[in-house]
Amino acid sequence: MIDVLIIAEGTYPYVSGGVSTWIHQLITNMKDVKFGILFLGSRQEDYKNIKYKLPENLTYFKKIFIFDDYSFKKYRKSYSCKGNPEIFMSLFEENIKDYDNFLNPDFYKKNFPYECFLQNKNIYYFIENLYQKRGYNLHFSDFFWTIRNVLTPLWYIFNEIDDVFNEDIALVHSPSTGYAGLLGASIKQKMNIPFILTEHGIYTKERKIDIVQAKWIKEFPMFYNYYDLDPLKRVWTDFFTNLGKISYDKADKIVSLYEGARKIQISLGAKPEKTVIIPNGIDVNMLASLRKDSIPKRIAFLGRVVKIKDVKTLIKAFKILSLKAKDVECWIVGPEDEEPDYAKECRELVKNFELENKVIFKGFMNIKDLFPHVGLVTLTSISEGMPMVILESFAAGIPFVATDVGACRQLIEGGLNEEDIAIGPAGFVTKVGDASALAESYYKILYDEALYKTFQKNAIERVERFYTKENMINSYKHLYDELKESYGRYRLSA
Amino acid sequence: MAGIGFQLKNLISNRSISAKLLAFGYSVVLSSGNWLISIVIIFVFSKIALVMGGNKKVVYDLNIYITNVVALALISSGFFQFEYTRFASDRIFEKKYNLIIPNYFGALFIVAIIGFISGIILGYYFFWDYNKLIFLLFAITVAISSCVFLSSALLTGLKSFRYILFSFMVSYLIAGISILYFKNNFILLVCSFYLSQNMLFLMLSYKIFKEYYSDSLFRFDFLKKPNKRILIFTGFIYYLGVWIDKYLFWFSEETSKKVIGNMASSPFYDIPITLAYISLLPGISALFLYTEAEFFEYYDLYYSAVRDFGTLEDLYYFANMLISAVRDLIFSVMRIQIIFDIIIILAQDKLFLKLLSIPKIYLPEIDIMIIAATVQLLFIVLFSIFSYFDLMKNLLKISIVFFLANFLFTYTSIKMGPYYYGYGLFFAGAISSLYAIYLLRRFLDEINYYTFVHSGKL
Repeated sequence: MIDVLIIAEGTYPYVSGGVSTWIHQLITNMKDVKFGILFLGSRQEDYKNIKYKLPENLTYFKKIFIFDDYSFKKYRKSYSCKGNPEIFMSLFEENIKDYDNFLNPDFYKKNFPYECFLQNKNIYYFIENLYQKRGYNLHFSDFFWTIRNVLTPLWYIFNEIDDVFNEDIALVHSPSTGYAGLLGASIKQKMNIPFILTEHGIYTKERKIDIVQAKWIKEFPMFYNYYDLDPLKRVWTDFFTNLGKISYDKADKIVSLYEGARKIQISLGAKPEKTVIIPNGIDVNMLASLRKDSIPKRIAFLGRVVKIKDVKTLIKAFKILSLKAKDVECWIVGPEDEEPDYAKECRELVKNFELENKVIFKGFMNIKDLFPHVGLVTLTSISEGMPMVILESFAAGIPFVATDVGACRQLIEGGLNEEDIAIGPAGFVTKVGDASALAESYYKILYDEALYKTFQKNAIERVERFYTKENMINSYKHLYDELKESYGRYRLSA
Repeated sequence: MAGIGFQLKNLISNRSISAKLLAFGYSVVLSSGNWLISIVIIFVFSKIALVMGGNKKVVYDLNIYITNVVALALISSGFFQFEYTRFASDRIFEKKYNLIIPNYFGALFIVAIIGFISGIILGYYFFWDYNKLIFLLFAITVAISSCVFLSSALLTGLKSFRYILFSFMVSYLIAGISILYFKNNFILLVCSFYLSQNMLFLMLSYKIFKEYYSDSLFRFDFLKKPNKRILIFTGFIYYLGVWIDKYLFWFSEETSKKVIGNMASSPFYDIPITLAYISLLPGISALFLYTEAEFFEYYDLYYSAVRDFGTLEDLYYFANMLISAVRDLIFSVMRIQIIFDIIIILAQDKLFLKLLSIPKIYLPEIDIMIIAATVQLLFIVLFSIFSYFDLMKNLLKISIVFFLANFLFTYTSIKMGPYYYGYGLFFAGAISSLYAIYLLRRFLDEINYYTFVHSGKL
């Protein structure tokens, strides 16, 4: 008996990070709910150690590796291909319509067994047709392997899934779209149980960034003009967008973390009535002890020193600020090893501005050691989801200045509902890349004690009212109960 | 971020397209030349020895003896000639050079044992009652010659063709000169042939040691690749097919004549086929030349398009060029050989009767054998094309067809009488070539599909 089956794609319990922490929180805080984890990983050797202490109410754990070749090492000599390969075309078209086949495990076992998918002539010519239909002009081999590689996991998943269908599962919950979302949709369809989809980021959007950065999309300096690399990315995004659409269609509830994300989901095809916002929550009590009355004249930037965080704009803003306010310091807290060149450029910039004594690169720090020393925390990113650091600052009674990306405005100014807006702002939101606006915001907060206290009060009120861990847990608990009841299952909590 | 798409990029690298097959294909093309060289040199020196007043019977017996050694050594080493060369060219492609020599030793070890055992078995039947020393010499000469053919197969894969030619020339020259010296003493001739084979083996293996280093002595990794094991049978059946018609003639009562002990010859078949094989020299040379110069260029163009840059349009374009190159290769080789055949047949009176003083009675037989050998050349061309494309299953299939057809038709021709001698080889070559062309067409028609999806399937 599994109350909630979570499909963790490349996350819990092997990889630590935002989504894994979230899953761990969910499980450890619902002691009376029996959880199951279905882990989708790439290859066995990529996951060595379990990073979390597995809670007792985690009663079912299954791993599927979608790029291992162990399970199909022995090709069967005889197999039959019953389906028409053209059916796969729809997965790469702009608007997927008829997709029920892709949710049916028998489709992968009977119509197109794995050997058939790999060896059948018609499957090969389907890939040629797809290439021609889209009028591509790229290295065919890259195209061929891309199509193969994005489709192959479907066989790995659906050939390993039988014993999951034999379990007694009350609800399936996927924290992402992608393959996990498709599998969630399939389990829902087959077992007739509720399916919740939570998106922590927008999969296809982040996938787009990932693809742009992917190293294997080789650079051909010589052929650069000849090659348009974009089509290959388009193949990917179309495919993953379609997987997303299938999971949106089948999900009973589509959860996002903030309003902006919900709007993107709706624009990608999610029905508005299915969408619901459940923000992440933090352990407020743990950070409440760090609150203080003094206002240290020190700004902290918390995050990796990478391009997407736009640290250079922060340094420029601080230069402008330092002309007006002589006693301010800035700590840049976060690792610099991810983009060493960029980190080096940032340090050079500090040197050129003659700010070496005031802008200090602190490396990684625990927030418990950091927060007592800072009066203001800031983010200057070009792109964000829902940064937890804003909530953590709020819990410690520290106002925040951020650029207008992701959920930042909603968190700082209040945007969850009328009640939230009524609390008032807990900091400032500026345009992306606007150094002087940032400098002005920093100055106003640090040198206007009345404003600081108001922001501090609002910050604490907002996080305690809306963004506690308990809130998040209760929202999910209600969601679970509500859906199970509508499917005729018993309630979880007594 | 939840998602595994990240790791996709790591897996895209598994594009195993057949650049590494070059060495293997090359080796198969060239190894068809080794035995031809042996036959030519021995034939030439025998003629010279006879002209210089050698004992006709002794020289003739030695010819039969050497042919038997070469045939048995080719069949014995056939088990690993292709399989080991394929293994070696894969390792060279992976730059795992240190595995070449230990596995060379491993393969030599097995090949020498197979050669020695088959030498003992056939030698026992031939010479045990006649002369125990010749029996022993026969067995060890077969063993060492098997090692020679394995070594030269490896070296041809490494494109050391000139060195191989040089080594063969030198050692057979010694064997040839010894014919002039010991023209009346059969045992001494057999001994000197054995020594010349040893020298040949040392020369070839010296070159291999010079090219590669090694950190272990024996390894048998080459036996561990299950999908390549098929080549073991291919090599064996191929060489068995090449020699089965000769063995049938040597072992049939109607056609054979005991020479030494139980070792028999079949003059009505041996002399014409030797001459016919020698007449293949232009065709075999053309095969080397056109493979290297024209076919390879398009072969390389197509596979680098697949690997490095080709759009689908490019692939079809280069595939079409490659297909024309295959056709040109076959036509060019056959054209040259057929023109040469016509010249020989037209000039046969002067050439065979006067220059080589061959009795007139052989002439019709020689004409048929020249045509049969030409058809066999077509088969060799197709066989080497198949090996370039790594169509391992097809290689086995055409080898089996050639073996069975050669056995069946040659046996029938012997039963039908002297007028039909030679037609067996002709029909065997023709049928297996037609079959090979059918398979080749099937592959080339959908070369893109087979290249991407399953080259191992054919």
